[in-house]
Amino acid sequence: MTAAAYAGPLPRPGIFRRFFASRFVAVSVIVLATILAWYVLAFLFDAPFQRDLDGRRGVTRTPLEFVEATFSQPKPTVPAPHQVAVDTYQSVFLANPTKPSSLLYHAWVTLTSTLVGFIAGTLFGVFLAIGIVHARSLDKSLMPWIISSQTIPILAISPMVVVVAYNLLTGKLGVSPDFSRFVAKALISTYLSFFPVTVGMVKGLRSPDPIHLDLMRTYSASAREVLWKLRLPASLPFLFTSMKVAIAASLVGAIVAELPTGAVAGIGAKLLLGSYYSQTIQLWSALIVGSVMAGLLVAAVGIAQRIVQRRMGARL
Amino acid sequence: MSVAEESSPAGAKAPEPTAVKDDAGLPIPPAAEAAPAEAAAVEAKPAVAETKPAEAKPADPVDRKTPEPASAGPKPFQSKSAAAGLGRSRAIGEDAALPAAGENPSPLRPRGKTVPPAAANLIARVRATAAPPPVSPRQDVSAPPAAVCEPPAAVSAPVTAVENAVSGALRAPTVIDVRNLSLTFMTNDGPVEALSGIDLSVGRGEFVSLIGPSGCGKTTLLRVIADLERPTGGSISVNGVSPEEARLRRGYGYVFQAPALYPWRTVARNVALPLEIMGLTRAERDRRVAANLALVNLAGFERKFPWQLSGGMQQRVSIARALSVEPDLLLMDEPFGALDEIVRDHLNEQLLQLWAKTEKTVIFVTHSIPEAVFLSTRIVVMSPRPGRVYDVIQSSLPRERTLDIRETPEFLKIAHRVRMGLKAGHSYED
Repeated sequence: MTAAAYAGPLPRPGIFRRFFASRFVAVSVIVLATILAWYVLAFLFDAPFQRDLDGRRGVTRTPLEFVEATFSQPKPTVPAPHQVAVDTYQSVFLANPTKPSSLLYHAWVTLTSTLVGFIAGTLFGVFLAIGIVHARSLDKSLMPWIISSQTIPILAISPMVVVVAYNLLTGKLGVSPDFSRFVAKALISTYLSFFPVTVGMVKGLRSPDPIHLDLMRTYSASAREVLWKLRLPASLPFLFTSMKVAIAASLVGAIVAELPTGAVAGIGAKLLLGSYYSQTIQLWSALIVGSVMAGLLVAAVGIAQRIVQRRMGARL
Repeated sequence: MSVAEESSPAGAKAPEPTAVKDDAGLPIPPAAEAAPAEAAAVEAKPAVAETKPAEAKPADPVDRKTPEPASAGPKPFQSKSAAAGLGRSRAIGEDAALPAAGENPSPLRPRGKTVPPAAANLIARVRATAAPPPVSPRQDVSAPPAAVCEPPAAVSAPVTAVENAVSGALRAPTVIDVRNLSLTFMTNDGPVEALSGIDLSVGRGEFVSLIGPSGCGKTTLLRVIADLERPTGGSISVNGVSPEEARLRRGYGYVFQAPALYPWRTVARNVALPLEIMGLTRAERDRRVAANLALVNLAGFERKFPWQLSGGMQQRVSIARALSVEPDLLLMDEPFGALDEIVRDHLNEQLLQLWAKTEKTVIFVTHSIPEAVFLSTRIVVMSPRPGRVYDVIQSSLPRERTLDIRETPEFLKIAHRVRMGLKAGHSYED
C-alpha cells in the first residue's frame, strides 16, 4: 500500500554518513565511554591506596608503572574493567560448571528458583486477574491488598518468609535444607512477580472493544467462552509485557532471598560472600553474570512473545 | 492486500454462465415446485395490477405512523406451495400496484425467475475465485438454511393460508413485533429519551430499513431487538418470544457498523467463531465456513488475517460470520457506513442478491437515503429527540433490483418521500 505512494528511494547517503548514523556506532560509543569512565573512577578510588602502599614500602614507580599497579590490585575498591572481564571469563568459561568455583553453577542455582517462582507468580497473577475481572467484589476487596503488598520492602519481608518457610519445611516436614532453600527462594520470586502480571492482565482482560463483547453477547456465549475466545487472546500482549517485568523481578527476588538463608550457592550467595571477604572482583563478575542472565531472560520472554504473536497473525 | 483487491474484480470479469444454472438453483430447494406457481402469478398479475393503482395511492399517507399498511411485505422469493403462491400474487397486486407496474411489466418478470441475472453474476464470481472445491460446499449450503427455516415455515404456512383466506390484506408471519416501545437512558445530565412510542412490526422475508439522522435511536432500536439494550417501556417480541429468549436461541445474526473481526483469528476462524460457541462439529463448521465465505465472494481468503483484507472485504467477512449462524433474521447496523461509495454500491447489490437467495428477514440501519430506498421493501423514517418513527414507506420497487433502478422516477419518488419525512421530522435542523 505504501509502495504505491512512495516516489522512489531517496539518494543513498555516503558510506561515512551511514557508518556514523548506524546503531552499531551509537552503541559502541556509549560502551566505550562507560568503560573509560569506569577506568577513571577505578583509578580515582584505587590510587590513594596504592600510593599509601608504595609510600609504606618505599617503592618508587614511574607514572605508567603506578597506573599499572593501581589496576592490578588483588582486592581493589573498584576493580578495573579488564580485571572483572578476566575473572568473569575464567569463572564462566574455564571453571568446571559443576563446582562452586564456576559462576555458571551459581547462575544455575539462582535460575531454577527464578523460573519456578516466575511461572508460579505468572499463573497466580493471571488467576487473580481473572477473578478480579469477573467478580466485582474481588475487584473491590483484592486490589488494595495487592497494591499494598508491593509497598512492603522486599528486603524486610524476605528474611521472614525465608526463615519461616525454611524452618517449617526442614523442621516439621523433614525436607532437605537445599530443597527448602529452593522453595523459600521461589516463594519470594513468586511474591515479586505476580504483581506486574496481575495489574497487566486486569488491564488486558478488560481491553476488548465493547463491540467485540457485544458480538459475543449476540452469540449468547458463556463467560467462560468469552474468557477463552476473547479476553485471553486479547490480553496476550499485556501478558507478555508484564511477564518481561515479572521475570526480572523474579530474578531479583531469588537473589535477595539467597542472602538470609545462609546459602552457599547462587548469585546472591556469591555476592554475599564477595562482600564478606572483600573479593570485589568476584563481586563484580557475579553482578555481571546476574545482569546478563536478567537480560537473557527478558529476551527469552520477548522471543516467546514474537513467536506467539506471529502465530496470532500480528504484523511483525 | 493488493492480491486481495485484484482478485475480486478479476473474478467479476470471468462469468461462467454454464455454472450458474445448477448452482443458483441449489440454495433454494423448493425452486422446482415453485415454478408452476410463478407462472400462475405472472398470469394473474396484470389484471390485478390494473385495477389497483387508484387505491394504492391514497393508502400511502395512511401508512404514516401505522406499522400495518394493508400490503404484503414479504413476498417470499420462492413460494412453498401453489396456495402460498396464489396468496402472494394477490398481495403483490396491492402494494406493487403503481403506475410503473402498469406501463412496465418488468417488475413481474424477475420474480418468476429462479436466478436473477445479478445473482448469476455473483455466483459466477464466486466460482471464478474459488476453484473446484466450492462446488460441493455450496451444494451443502442449501440444506441447512432450509432445515433451519423449516420449523417456522411449517408453523406459519397454515397461518398464512388462513389469513389469506380471511383477508388478502394480511402479510406473512410477524418476526418482530414492537409496541409502544420506549427506552430512556439515565445520564449525568438527566434522563435521555432514546426511543419513544415506537410501533413496528416486521413480517418474514421483509427487508426493512431504519433511516434517520444520528441520535434518532435507530441503532438503539436495533440493539433492543438484539437484546443488547433493555427497553424501559412497551413490549417487543422477536420470533414470538422476548428478545432475550431469541438471543439465547441464537435467533438472529448481527452485523455491526465495524467488521469487529478478532485480529488474532484468520478469516475462516473468524467465521467459525459463533459456530464454535454453538458447539458444532468440526466438519459442520468447516462446511458452513466454506459455504458462507463463498456466498460473500471470499472463497480463497480463509487463511488470511483481517488486516490483510480491505475494509470492504472485512465487512463481507463479518456478514459471512453473521450468516454462518444461519439465522432467519439478520440485523445490520450501518454495515457499510464506513466504506466508500463505490464499495458500498457493490456490497449493496451483493446484499440484495444474498437476501433474495436466502429469504431472510433483514433489519437494516442506515443514514443513506439511496441505500435505504435501493435495498428495502419498507423504509422506516425515524426522527430524533425523542427517537420515534415518523413515517413508514412501503416500497413499490420490484423485489429484484440492479443499481440502475436508482435512476428511475419511482426510485426518486420514494427517495423524495424519505427526504420529506426526514425534513418534517426536524432531522435537518441545528
